[in-house]
Amino acid sequence: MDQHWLDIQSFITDQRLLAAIDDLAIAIKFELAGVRDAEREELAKNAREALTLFLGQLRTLTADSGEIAKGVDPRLKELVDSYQAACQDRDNFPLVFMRAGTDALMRLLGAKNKAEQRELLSCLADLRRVVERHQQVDVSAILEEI
Amino acid sequence: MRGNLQASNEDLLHQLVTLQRLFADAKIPQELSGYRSAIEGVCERLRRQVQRNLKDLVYDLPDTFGNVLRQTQTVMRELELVNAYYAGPIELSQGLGASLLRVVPGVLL
Repeated sequence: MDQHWLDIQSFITDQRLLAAIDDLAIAIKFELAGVRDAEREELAKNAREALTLFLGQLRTLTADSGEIAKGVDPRLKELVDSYQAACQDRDNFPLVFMRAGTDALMRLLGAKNKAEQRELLSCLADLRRVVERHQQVDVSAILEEI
Repeated sequence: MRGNLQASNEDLLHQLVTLQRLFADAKIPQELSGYRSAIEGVCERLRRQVQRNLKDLVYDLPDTFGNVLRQTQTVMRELELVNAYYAGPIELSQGLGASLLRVVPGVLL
């Protein structure tokens, strides 16, 4: 496949991930503010599923990071590398979550109490930064040509 | 910020509706009908996202404006992708040298 379309595919994958992060963040903020919106709650459910799937991939790939990951999309592998780099970067990513690992965030996705929900919002913001940094490469490759 | 976001999303909604109409009206070979359906699906998904953005803004929670801004930018980027790449085969099949099917994305904030 043409490299250009691989860039687009990677860009779209990141777009979905970013949309899921914001969908969930908005839903939590609505809940914290006492706003009830059935469609937003449904979007949050879908977002949790998408993020659980992604974090599962991340967990698998970070576990195998010392080995050659066969059959893995190279751009996804780069995202994993970005995530691992962020985990080591305590100045820019000071949250405990970044070092606690993907399991901690997966558990936090279902947060019910306000303290956990606020913590989840912070974690989502960090995760967004990681994905946005990764996406910037594709944005440069694709959109700057337009 | 809320006013700007609302204006941007209303503009996007107008662009998407226009694009959907242009795709629907385009006379294309039968072989491209599946492709057109796929593109129309993308446009419809983006249109629903824009409507969702507008609905989120109605609640007027400043804490969510940053998220709505990013969701708006997400739509804008994908719309640029539709304009620049996805529309190409349909344009070519119509023999359109100029970008008659395209809409020009508005300026966001």
